[in-house]
Formats: sequence, C-alpha cells, structure tokens
Amino acid sequence: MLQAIYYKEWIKTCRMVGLLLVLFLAILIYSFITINQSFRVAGAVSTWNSYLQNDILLLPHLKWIPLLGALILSLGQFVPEMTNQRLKLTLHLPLPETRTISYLLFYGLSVLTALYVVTYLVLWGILAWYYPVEIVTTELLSVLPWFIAGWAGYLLTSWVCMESSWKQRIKNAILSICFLSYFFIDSIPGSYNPFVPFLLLFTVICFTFPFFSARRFKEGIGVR
Amino acid sequence: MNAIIQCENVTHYYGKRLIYENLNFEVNKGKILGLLGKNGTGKTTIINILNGYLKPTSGVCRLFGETMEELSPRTKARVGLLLEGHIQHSFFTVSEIERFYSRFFPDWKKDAYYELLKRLQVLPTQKIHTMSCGQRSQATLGLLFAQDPDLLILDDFSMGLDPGYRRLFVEYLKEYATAEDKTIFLTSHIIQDMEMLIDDCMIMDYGRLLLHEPTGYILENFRRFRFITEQPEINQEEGLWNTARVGNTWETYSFLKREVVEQLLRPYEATLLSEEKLSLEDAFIGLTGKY
Repeated sequence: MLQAIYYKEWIKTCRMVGLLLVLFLAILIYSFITINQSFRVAGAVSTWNSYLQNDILLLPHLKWIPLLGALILSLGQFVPEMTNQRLKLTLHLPLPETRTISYLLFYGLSVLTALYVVTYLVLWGILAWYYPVEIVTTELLSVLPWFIAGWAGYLLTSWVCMESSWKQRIKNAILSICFLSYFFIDSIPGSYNPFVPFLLLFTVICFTFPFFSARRFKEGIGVR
Repeated sequence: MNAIIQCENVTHYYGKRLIYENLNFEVNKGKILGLLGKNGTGKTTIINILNGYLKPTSGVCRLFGETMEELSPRTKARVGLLLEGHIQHSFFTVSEIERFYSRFFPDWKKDAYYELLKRLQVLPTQKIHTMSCGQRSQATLGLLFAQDPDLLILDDFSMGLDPGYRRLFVEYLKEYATAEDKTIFLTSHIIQDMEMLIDDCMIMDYGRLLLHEPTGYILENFRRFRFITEQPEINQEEGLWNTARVGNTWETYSFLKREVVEQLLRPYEATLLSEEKLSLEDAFIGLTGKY
C-alpha cells in the first residue's frame, strides 16, 4: 500500500521534483562559484579573515531555498488533492485514514530529506575543499536550521492546504509564518546551535498538524 | 443482514438552513435506489454523510452495519464511490490509474476496466485530464467495475454526459447490478435515465423526504388529472399534489383512483376530468412542483 501511495504521489509530483532538482543543483553550482570567486579575487587570507572576524556566513543565498523547495512540493502534492475535494478519493482507499495521511506526508518528507541530504553532503565537500574542518562544521551547523525549516514548512503548508475552511486556512497560514520565523531570527554563524534540538522537536510536533485538517475535512467543516 | 445502507433520524443544517429533519431510510441488498430531488435538496449531502465526509447535526448512517464515521478498510473496499462530475486523479494516464487502484483490491478485475475502455477512442498513455467528460465517466465506471464492490454509490452520474454516454453508462450499470446482485445508491438530474434503472425511488423536497416507494408503484399508480372548473381557487386537498391552473384548464396529481379524485373535486364543479399515465420525470414534477 505504501508503494502504491508513493507511486501516486510520484506521478503527481515528478515535475515538481524535477524542478526542485534543478533549483538545488543551481544553488550548489552558485555556492561553488561564489566561494571559488572570493578565494580567487580576495585571496584565502582575506576570505578566512572576513569569516572569522566579521561573522559573515559563507552561504547566505541558501537561506530560503530549503523552505522554498518544501513549499513547492507541498503545494504540488496537496493542491490537486483539495481541488474538487479529490482527497475524498484518497481517504476512500481501503486503508486506515491516519495511515493514508501519514503515507502522503512520508512521501513528501522522503523527497525533501533526499534532496537536503545530497545538498548538505555536496556543500560539505565544496566547503571542505576550501576551508578547515572547524569552519566547515560551524558553517554546516549554521545552515542546519534552514533545512529543518524546510521540513517544518512542508508540514505546515500541508496543514494549511488540507484545511477545508478558507477562514481557518488563513489563520493556519498566519500561525505557520509566525512559527517559521523562529528559524530565521539570527544569521550569525553558530547562533542557533543550542536551539537546534528544540527546532527538531517542534518539527516533530508539526507532523501532527495535517491530521487535524484531515479530520476537519472529514467532518465537512467549511464544505458546502 | 439484508440492509446495506441504513440512515436513522438524520437531521442536518447548513448554518440555519434545514436540509433534512429525521430522515430515515434503508437500502436492501440487490436493490438500485435512486435519490431524486431539485437542486439544493441535499442529494450530495446525504452521499457525503453516508461515506463519512460530513458529520450530520444529529443521527447516524451505517454501511454494511458500520457507522459512517468509522468505516473499516474492509468495508471501504466493498463500497465503490463515484464523486459528482466523475472526479478522478486527473494527473494519471489511463493505464497508470488502473495500476494504482489495483494495488488496493485483491480481487481487482483488470479486464473489466479495459473491456469498457475499448469502446472509447483513448490510448493507455492518455492523461485523464485530457479526456472528455464522457470518456472520463466511462473510465471511472471501468475502475468501479474492476474494483467489483458490493455497493456502488454514484453522485449525479449523468452530469455533463451527452445522451449516448448516459445511455451507455446506464446499460452497463443495469447489466452489472442484475448479473452480480449488487446494491446501487445513485442520484441524477436526468430522471428519464433513472426510469430504466432504479427499483426504488426516493424523492427529496426542501427539508424532508417526500416519497420513498418502488419505481413500479409510482409509475403504475401516480396519475395526472386534468379538468375544467369555473372556481378561481382550489384548496389543498389531502391526496392531491400540486393542483394548479395551466391556461384554461387545471391539473392535479394523485395516487388516488379516478373515482376518489372525482369525489374530491366535486365541490369545485370540475368537468371534463381526464387521467394520464406518467413517466418518472412527469411524476417527479407532479410530486415536487415545477418551481
């Protein structure tokens, strides 16, 4: 059954996933070019110095990309489900409804995780080529909240999309923006390090939110 | 257990607007029940309630003895659901959608799906969203036949279909239901199609169930009576439905025998009383009124 749901979601989102691949690939290429350029133009000493003395992030352009990817994927997955209330067809499948919704979310999280892990590893490789391990570790930890924001953003967008009442949907969207803003408060390298476990815990809690929307959809709230 | 669908004391409101009050009905195994009603009388609402997609204000519905809010996967597998407008996952191709659904039903009848699709000018690689409404209706029906459910719930199956596709749909459905002893609960706006298909007929009016009788009984006993009278008005008489002036004559509808109708109209000095047999569509108009 999991395989069948994954098959459906893949057919539905394969173009979106292709788009995300292009986006993440572009951002990796851009990161490589930017770092390479700064070393070539300013030299290694000046580049290292600006990182160590001025608290400048090496990959600031990455900030919104994981979240943007998550938004694209979630909308691609759940807008077709909510159009003409097709979610009824999905919930009518002979599976417990909680499991059906879980499988839909697992699919999205799996795609994002694969993208994020590959991106993270390639970034690690690029950074390790130019910087010492201490800087690489600090930088990778600094960008980690943005990736966690991607997972949380995916779950929150799914929560908003699956909501059947527009009024509630707007409230959920505003709450989601407030929640997500916590992931982007500070950009100083290492500032989020002690906070990462709490962000992860919050993301795990976010997993339960779409089930409330699905329950409200089932009860016909906001549906005429 | 003979009753496949049971609805007990279902009351539902949209805001302050009453849709039904204490609606009760049952559909027994092997029966084809048609739910008729004007727009806004709650036909889709009852289908949503039956499948657990709408919580009524009060009351309970059961499918195969299970309450609508807690249908088990086993029961869901026994229910084929057609949403209004033949809605399907339109990003699939003809063959992909068959492959997807086949994974959920162990007794999946692939041939039934492709047999039906043979009649359409579609390729297995064609996307559902590029199909016409009629083609999509046949593809959806094919998926339902392949699922081979014990109960089919069809919401406005004739919506958007031309006469040819409607007829095709009805013929396949009739054959399927009679050959396999299936139960069908359906709604449609096109009542002439229902006449060929349904065993029992439920007619909804705003806020209530007007009538629930076998179709044969309605066709056999419900009559239109035309007459002439000089009286400016005729009171609401028990047993006469929607009595109204049409041009120079009057018409009324009734399940009563001609002699009884004559007796009821005697105080109005009705003359030239004539009686007509009705199609199901005319009977529906007679019961619910034209407007």
